[in-house]
Amino acid sequence: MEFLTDPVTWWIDPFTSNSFMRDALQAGLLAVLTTSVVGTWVVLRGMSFLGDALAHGVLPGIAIAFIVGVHTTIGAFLAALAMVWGINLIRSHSPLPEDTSIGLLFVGFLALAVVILSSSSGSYTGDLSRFLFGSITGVDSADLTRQAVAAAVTLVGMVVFYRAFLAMTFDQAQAQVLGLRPRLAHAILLVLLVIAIVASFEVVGNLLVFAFLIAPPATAVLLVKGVPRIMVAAVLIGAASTVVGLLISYHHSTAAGATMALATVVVFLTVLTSKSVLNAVGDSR
Amino acid sequence: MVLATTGIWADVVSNLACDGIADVEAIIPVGGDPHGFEPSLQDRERMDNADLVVANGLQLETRLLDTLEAVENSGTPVFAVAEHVESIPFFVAEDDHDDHDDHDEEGHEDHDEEGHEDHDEEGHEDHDEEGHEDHDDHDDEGDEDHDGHDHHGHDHGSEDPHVWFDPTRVSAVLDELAQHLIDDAGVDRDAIAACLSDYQAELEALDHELEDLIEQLPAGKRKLVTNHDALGYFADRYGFEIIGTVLPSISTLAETNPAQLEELAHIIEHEGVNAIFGETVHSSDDAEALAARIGDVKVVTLYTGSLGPPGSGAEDYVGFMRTNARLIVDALS
Repeated sequence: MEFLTDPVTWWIDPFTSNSFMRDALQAGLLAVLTTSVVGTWVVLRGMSFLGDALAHGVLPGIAIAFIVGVHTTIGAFLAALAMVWGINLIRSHSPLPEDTSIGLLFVGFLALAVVILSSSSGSYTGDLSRFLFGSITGVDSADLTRQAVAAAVTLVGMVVFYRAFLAMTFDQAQAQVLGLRPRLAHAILLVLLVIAIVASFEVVGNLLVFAFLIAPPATAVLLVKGVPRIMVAAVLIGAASTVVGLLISYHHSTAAGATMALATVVVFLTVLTSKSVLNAVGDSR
Repeated sequence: MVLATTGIWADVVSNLACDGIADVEAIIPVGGDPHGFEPSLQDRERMDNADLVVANGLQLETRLLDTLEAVENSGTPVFAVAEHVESIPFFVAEDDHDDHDDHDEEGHEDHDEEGHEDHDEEGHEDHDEEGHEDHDDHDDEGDEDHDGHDHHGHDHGSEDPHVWFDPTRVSAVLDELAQHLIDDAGVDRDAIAACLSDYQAELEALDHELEDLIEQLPAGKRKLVTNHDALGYFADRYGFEIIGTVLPSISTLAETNPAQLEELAHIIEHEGVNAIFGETVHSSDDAEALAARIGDVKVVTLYTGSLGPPGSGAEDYVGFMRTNARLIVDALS
């Protein structure tokens, strides 16, 4: 109960007395900003599975980049683009539904990453796990810069293509008529999604990237109407989850990434339960 | 406050700063695997507030890498011990001839440099018994390999980080470590000088004790099969040959594969080895399954990446080395 009885010590002091906590907070908030905004479209368009697959699809690119010796961000970006391309290819050349082609490449890419690393005897298999869980205890200024650039690109993209995304989400035929080219809009959204994932996962890990991508927007959908409002609410909910998750992790020595991811899901379940209870009370009157 | 990543280095540092002239704590708890340990935010806070962080380095602490880098950038000095020790490339299963030669070559060099003449003679004897011609054939190759691998900051993970398995290497790095304790942790120079010579004498005695113990084992029986490739320096120092590892890696985070296990089973049967060495910090399931399949082979658990709990006999570095050496000699006799 220290967070109530001694709020300054619990909520404020960890950030004022530790520069790494401020870095971790910044990294978390930038990740929320980027992923929750893109994630709003992911949730509204029912693309969650693709988001999860992409968050893991970066791994073979990282493995290859690691062996070749280029920056892992480049490898991750190329691998995610290759996955998007591959999913479209399977979908257009087979009668299978999209989730099957996503699933095939999800497992294919994940396995490929492990196989690549296991076949290179000179490197550490363990390095992959660094990316699965991220390392928010080791955020540096280069990470923060990369994240800030990605956040800026994503926000600009969202504003520029807002009408196109809106049209393709809610009325494909109308979009076509208006000349908004829904296929192109879809491709641009996927690129923004890839940018959001790649910029965030090295710091917060694949698990948390996926949590940020869907849990805050999903919670926001329960609370407000209209895409811009959902985006703003998602960012605020994600930010609150990040702060609380980070502080719980700090005070109780729990794994930081997982604690924040758990916080986003707990917030969703709490909101859903409260809403259901309120509705039930409202109906019975 | 001085923080060491593993309990092994924490014990070495606290012996170096004897009689409590520095506060020393470990980051990774007893029984924790240094390859897989994930730091919490509090661990980061402790590291930031420490005067000096002593890490093993050479990528041993895989999941601490980013954190250690960030800690160093934020102003806490980090001393990576293994990066100041003469290192050896790690054993690669597919390529074992060259690698054995590497071990032998380096073994000789080290012994020479440190000026233990009797070691040299022993080393040569072992060498001869194991088959002189074979080694000669490969000597040149071995040398080249060695040169290519030994520079610091070479490829990721091409050097074996488990340097603490050789007490002479640990002893050799203590002078530099003491200097860091003086410079960074404000330890008194005269006080630490006394501790330093005492502890170096203790480690030298340990080294002789281990040699005497291992001498009871005929040269032909000095063959090790370990869970992951952790005992390279032990093998190098005491004339053992590592004939295979259950996990095909220098790290416990690797996975095994059936073909490689099959080959290992074959090697174990062919060489007539009667023990596979598991480790406290990692599951021995693969080793147990392999032993059960071969039959007549026991799995003996060593302390590798962590000290043992109180009462285990391996709760400090000297006891850790002694316990391991006894377990190995008992198992192979």
